[in-house]
Amino acid sequence: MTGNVRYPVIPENITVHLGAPGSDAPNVTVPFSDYIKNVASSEVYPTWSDAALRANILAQTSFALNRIYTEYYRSRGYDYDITSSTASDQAFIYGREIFDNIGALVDELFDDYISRTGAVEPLFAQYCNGTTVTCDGLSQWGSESLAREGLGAYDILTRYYGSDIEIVFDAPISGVTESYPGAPLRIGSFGNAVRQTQFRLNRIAENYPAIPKIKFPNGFFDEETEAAVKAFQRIFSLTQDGVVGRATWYKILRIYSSVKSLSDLASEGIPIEDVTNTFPEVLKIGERGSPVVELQYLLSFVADFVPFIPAPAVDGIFGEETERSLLAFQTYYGLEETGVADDVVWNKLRSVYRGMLASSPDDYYLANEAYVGYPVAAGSEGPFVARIQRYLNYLSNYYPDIPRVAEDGVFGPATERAVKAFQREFGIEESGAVGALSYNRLYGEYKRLEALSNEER
Amino acid sequence: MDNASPTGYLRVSVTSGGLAYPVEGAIVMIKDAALGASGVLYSLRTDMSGLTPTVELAAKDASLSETPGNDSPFLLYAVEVMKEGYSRSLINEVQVFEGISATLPVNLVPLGYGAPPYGIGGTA
Repeated sequence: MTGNVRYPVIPENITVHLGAPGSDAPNVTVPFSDYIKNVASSEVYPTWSDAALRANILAQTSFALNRIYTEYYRSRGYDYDITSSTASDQAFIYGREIFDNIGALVDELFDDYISRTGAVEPLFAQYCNGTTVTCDGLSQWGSESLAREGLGAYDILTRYYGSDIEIVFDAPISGVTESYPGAPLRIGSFGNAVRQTQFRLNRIAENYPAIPKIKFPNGFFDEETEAAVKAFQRIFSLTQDGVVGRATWYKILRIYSSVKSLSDLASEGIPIEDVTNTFPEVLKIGERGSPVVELQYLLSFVADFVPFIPAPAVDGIFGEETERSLLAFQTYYGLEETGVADDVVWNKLRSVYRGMLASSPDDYYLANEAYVGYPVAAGSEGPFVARIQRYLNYLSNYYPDIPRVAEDGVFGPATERAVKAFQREFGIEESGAVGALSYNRLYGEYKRLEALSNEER
Repeated sequence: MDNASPTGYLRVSVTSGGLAYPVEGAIVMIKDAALGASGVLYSLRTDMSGLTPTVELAAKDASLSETPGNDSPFLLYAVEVMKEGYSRSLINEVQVFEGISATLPVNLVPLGYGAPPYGIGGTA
């Protein structure tokens, strides 16, 4: 066999343009299953028959996947996957309510789609209401009347799309390495999948304290595990049966990753010191280096809270992606849309970052271990500097090239030498200043070594 | 409300950072969309999971949704969510259908320092 067939994957997120193609409207990035729940809640009535709802959800999912798979908008130079215009795509009303029965169906169906028999591409499953608008595709009202006649979802779909279609079940999901184990986990189950579930539930419980902690996450599905699963299901609108089936499994994965992505970016509770910013540089497209990393880091943190702002890659290169993110930040916070990071942008970004840290619940981040939100260098002082010194000293036990320093909270020449030695050791530009990138490497290595030494004990 | 009148159900889920953490103690007001500010039906507070209790709301007869050409088969409500330190959120046109439970997800964005905090004074 030659040639690479690109198989469709269910994306983690989808970017929706909240207007007609090419119009001046914001984009919003949301998890794919949330998108389908929203579309289904907007396109059809929740009071319709189960089979009609299923047929419509499969058509909506296929339509969206087709737009992504064929890069319909991206290949035309747009920075989104689909629009909310019903003339071009399907209805999406950002922030709307989700009907629980539709939500439950989507949790079950979001990784299934329609394709032509023998083809790989998700079907361009057009549909229309069937009364005021008719089209070469599914009729929404017609699907309900067929369901009332007793047809199942597949038979409804073949009426509109022909008999040469098939449903692709359980398509691969992007970013998910832990696929559903195949059978539901329940009381009496044991093994690694149970242990992972317990571990994830315990981590989620740190942010959602109504979920009871599982005292012995040992891989045996006991009554405590069941209680935690039920509490999780209650909060996230799943059937409260205490069993980890497909829908619950993937929901746990998703919430776990949501909870973790934010705490990976930063930790909490930094007292706000009045420190002069070390590099309030003006940055624009084409630039590179650690100030760009700083900018990207802060933007990606804010993006976790504001779905209108796309998160840029934190790679130190100010390209179009970073510019788009910055423009969206300026739009959202009412700043002039220049795409250039100037003093106004830096001040706003840091103020927003610190506000977001401060508003998080106390036990959300590991106490006092966050990046402070601005770089420090020779001349800086304060508890944040003292923490950096503590981590440097910890690393120096393992990396003899990193000299020990006094943990006095004063960033003097000795600290600068230690920082440079650390940067050399880890292949970071030897600036002697600690910004987001250096801090995250330093802190990450500190945590890694600490965990190792705890294991040895 | 007598037993014969159609009703539906709504709960509000308030989080921040996507679903990263729940926002406890947010004030959630559910209003009759037609009456606006004067039509507050419920004033609720979110629990430690960011959830309000599920409330019952008047709806329209579900049979209106069975065939095309009828009046819209739902009643509309407005929901306002407030929590100190976060942006305020107003969601219009929340639809309530007979016999259907819905969850309204509200994602609050924390305000930065220096931004005017949305005061909900006196509701300690």
